[in-house]
Amino acid sequence: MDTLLEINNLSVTVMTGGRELAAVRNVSLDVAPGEVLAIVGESGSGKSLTALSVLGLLSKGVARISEGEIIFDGDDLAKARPHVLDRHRGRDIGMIFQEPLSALNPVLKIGDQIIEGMVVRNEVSRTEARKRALAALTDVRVSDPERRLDQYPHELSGGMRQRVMIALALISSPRLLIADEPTTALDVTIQAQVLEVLKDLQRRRGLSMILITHDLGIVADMADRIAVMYAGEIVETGTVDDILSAPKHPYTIGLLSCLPEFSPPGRRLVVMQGSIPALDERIDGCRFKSRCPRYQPGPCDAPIPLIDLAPGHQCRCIRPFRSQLAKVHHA
Amino acid sequence: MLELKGAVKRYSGGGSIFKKRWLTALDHLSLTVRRGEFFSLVGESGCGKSTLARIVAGLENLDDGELHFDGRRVPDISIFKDRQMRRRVQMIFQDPYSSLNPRMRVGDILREPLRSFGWGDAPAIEKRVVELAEIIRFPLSTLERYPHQFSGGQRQRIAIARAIAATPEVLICDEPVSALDVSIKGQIINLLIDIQEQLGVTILFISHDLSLVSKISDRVGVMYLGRIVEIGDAASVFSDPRHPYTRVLLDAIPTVNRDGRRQGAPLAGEVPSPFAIPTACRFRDRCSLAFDKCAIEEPGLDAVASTRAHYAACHLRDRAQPRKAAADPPRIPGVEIFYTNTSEHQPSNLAKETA
Ligand SMILES: Nc1ncnc2c1ncn2[C@@H]1O[C@H](COP(=O)(O)OP(=O)(O)O)[C@@H](O)[C@H]1O
Ligand code: SF4
Ligand SMILES: [Mg+2]
Repeated sequence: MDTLLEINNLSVTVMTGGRELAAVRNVSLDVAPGEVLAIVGESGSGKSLTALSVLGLLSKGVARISEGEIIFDGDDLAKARPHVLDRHRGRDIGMIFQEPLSALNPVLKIGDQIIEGMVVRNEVSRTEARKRALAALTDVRVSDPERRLDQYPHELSGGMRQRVMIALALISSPRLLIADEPTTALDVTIQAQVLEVLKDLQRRRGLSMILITHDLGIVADMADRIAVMYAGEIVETGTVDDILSAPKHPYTIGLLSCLPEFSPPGRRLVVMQGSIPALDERIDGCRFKSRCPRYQPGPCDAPIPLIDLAPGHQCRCIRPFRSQLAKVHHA
Repeated sequence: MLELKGAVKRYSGGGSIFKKRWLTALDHLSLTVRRGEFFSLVGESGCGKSTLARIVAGLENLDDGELHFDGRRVPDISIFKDRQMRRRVQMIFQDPYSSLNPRMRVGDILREPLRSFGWGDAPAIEKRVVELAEIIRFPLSTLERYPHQFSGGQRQRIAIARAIAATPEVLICDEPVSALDVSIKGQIINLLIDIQEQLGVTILFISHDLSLVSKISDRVGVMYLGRIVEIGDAASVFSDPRHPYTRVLLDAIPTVNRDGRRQGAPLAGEVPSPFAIPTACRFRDRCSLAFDKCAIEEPGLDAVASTRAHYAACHLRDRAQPRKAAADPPRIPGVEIFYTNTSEHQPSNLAKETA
């Protein structure tokens, strides 16, 4: 298969309390051109660290790639020198984060922030850059784009700021966009607008995207494939239909059953007992076992590999859920 | 139980000393919350939900209008001064970390309200602390720890235990689970439902998560720019919304179930500035159904024909447009392997302590 980005066996460690602990464990992922890959999982499962590794933005002295490769366009970004990373980041790989305020320069007008990059890279003249900035803002459906160019980030609403972030990320026509919880801080109505913009741009430009979110509803709407992460590992990966209609890993099933729309009748919600293990917790075998209703002493206490269930559908569980129930019912 | 009549709250938002600008957070809002019910308030951020919560909790004064508690008018700021009132209305917030004193042990956090509300002598207080620990399922040994030693979900449980310590009648919850992961949310929500059902506490629940609210609430109020625009039984409001704003809010929820998804185009525009609330119908500049009357006459929050206790502030409130329900209730194979956990959470010791 054609791939744009290939992550092989990526492990990331973080320094906490003077110790180096594994936070991302042997993660392998690939993204094809034009494909949207969603990474889902609870906070602390290693989603952001995985994304930051691709961007070369792990904070020095705190987090580092301890193993693995990240192949983009023939370069291994995991071992690339800073200037190679800089070349890809911002140009071939765009990024948007949850809080655009922290990514935008507060004392620079919106227009100048967008224009500056283009001028610094010596691509175009200032006038041409301003014209492109205007087009970019129009593309993300910012209202009143002309006026926005002369406004400061704090003068915009959260939704408008996130659109500016998208415009900024896409101005240099990257091939890959990494979006880490892009709409988590927004109201549902504004979230719906921003997602429409993202989806539309992604389709029109054939953009590849890594979408990190904890909201499975957004995933259903946006993604082609899903990787479910738990405690630093990928526990299940497959197409949106594989994962959302026929999940096999107990954790994936658990995530879905926690949603109000899949809860049993009555007012109470489903609870997954316990919480994600601490980084320094020693766990033999399955990292989900302390919360798993299908845990079996013995087999689940040995290392669990990622097992192929069907082409493109993998699951890290020795007792994956194998029910044909749904199909029988519908036949 | 709780009633707001024509409540008005304004905040000054800059401007010059001679000509201050005022933003209207609550605009002649009226609302009744019944004893023992789970009432939810929804709406976009900035529409006044938290302001309403702080007023009902007695943390702020109204500029105009009245707050009634248990049939009695509450004079301004009296909740603050009146210890009995403070005991009867308690509040929990979104961020359980900033609301818990980091230098106090959990046990002391629970003892504090009991002491200040005169719960009883030391043994009575200790007995109550043990009960509270049982309610939130904390082993007694953990009471010696500090808040930072707990996860976000556990801290929220501590905040709940502290709030219900001196048996309040109303518990106000302002976005209590918004910062928590899905797998943890359920613990807090189920605990709140237990507290309502078993202890008979009235719950005023504020949230922007409509799919959650639709499942757990008895009644729901939808707020827009400082006013309730629709209110009624949760089942009725969510299955047959009569205000176009409620409908677009529901349509905007991303859902996993593909049949039930995105029933319309996303709502255009953003919430207008509370400095300049549109005249007549306040929703008209974003409304796809707006017609001439909407710019002339303000729709009242009136009863929807042939419903019981369902009100909507829209001229078209009597046009029924039930939402398309998912053809098949969504079912995912295997989803029930976690269901037992739901019943395991059944309250064990809540009932006994009301007795
Ligand atoms: N800068 C850091 N310093 C210390 N620990 C970190 C740092 N960044 C992340 N971690 C830890 O690494 C784990 C994975 O984090 P992250 O990738 O941010 O997860 P996610 O994005 O899935 O929420 C967490 O336990 C987190 O606390
Ligand atoms: S390997 Fe065992 S403990 Fe882990 S998810 Fe599968 S059944 Fe559960
Ligand atoms: Mg993250």
